[in-house]
Amino acid sequence: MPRSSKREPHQMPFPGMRASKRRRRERKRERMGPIRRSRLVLVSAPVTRRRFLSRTLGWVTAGIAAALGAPAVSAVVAPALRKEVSRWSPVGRLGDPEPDEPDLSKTGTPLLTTFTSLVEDAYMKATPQNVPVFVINHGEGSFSILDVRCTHLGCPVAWDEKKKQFLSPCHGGVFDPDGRVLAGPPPRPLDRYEFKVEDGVLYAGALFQVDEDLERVT
Amino acid sequence: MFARSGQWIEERLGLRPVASRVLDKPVPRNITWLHCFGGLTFFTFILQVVTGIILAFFYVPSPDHARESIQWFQDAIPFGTIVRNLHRVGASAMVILVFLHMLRVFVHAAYRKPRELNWVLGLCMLLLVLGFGFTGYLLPWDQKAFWATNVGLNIVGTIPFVGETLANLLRGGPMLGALTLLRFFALHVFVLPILLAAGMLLHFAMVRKQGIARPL
Repeated sequence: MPRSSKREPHQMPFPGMRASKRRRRERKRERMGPIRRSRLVLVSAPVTRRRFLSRTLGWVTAGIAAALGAPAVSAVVAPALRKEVSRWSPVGRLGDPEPDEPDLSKTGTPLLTTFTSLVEDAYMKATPQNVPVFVINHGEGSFSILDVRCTHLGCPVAWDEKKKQFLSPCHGGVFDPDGRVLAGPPPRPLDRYEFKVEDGVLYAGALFQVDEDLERVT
Repeated sequence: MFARSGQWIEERLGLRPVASRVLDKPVPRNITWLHCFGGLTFFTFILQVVTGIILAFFYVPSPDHARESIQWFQDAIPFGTIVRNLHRVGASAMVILVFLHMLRVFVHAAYRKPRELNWVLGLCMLLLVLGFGFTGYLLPWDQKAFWATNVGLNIVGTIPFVGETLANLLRGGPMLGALTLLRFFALHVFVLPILLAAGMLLHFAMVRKQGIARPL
């Protein structure tokens, strides 16, 4: 076996000796002697006024570029790092509905309704967007708010009362009443919104995804 | 590391003689600090380009959103206030520096033969810089911007014969509104920068060709 391919034994630091101290000692060993130092001085070009000025100019320019570049980069990058803030938007009142209100009291069946989302989109403050959702009342103050968009390519699904299934009109996606995938190409169950009930009003929060066991994943 | 990759490129392209022809120009002895104003104007131009590009990432030239987008940029984006104010103060600085540069050239009588062409070109560029100021002033779309532009366009309207047509052309119609904002935005961001950059290129080329004027 040639000598060069032999691996160096791993060096252990002395017990009770800090790594930084060891490094300092190693650096001291590498320090140049007087002969090497003088040779270096002779070889490298002398610092003339011209060289000094052009170097200074270079560093000042680099400083200005950094001072301008840092805000530029951070301003443009910052929106990409922002987290979406969830806002609670009212979906409907519980109890006896007025003629134009959704009836949220019926349990068990998905009810197609829309709510006005108060999502902030950058400078567009609380743009009202009508978001269609299926609300399922499980009774005892428990709700599911399912997004109508199929998880395959986003076509709006429809509730089939006879089959008790959600059917996607585009590529044959089929979901059960809880939003689980029964057939077709959809990769995951229907997305859903956070919900809360406050003062007899049902609110929808952030949209999230679930896995096959309906456990929240995002 | 950089030195080595520089050498790698140099071996293949041989750019160093070109760079030295462009950059290593002996400067005459009579240069004073007063000769800096032109270069400083150029520096503010670079500043305006950089900060303007950042602003363009966030600004919306629409009456519905112009103000909100600027406000949001200042409130929600790191360095937003600094960048916007750099652009605003930089604009004023550029106008002041242009005038100081012009004053220096005038006092040194550097506009005389053979440099008349460069002086005239400089005057055209002065108008361009003022055009930047005028068009940029409307873009925040607040009360001050709106009424200042209103006054400015009414002044254009007082030019005999062509005034009204010219004002309507700039305004995009008889009423100051969404089209005016879009027009001013397009002028400010696309038309004027190209013209000014071309003008500066010519300006510098002529200075190079004719040299800096001798002292009086």
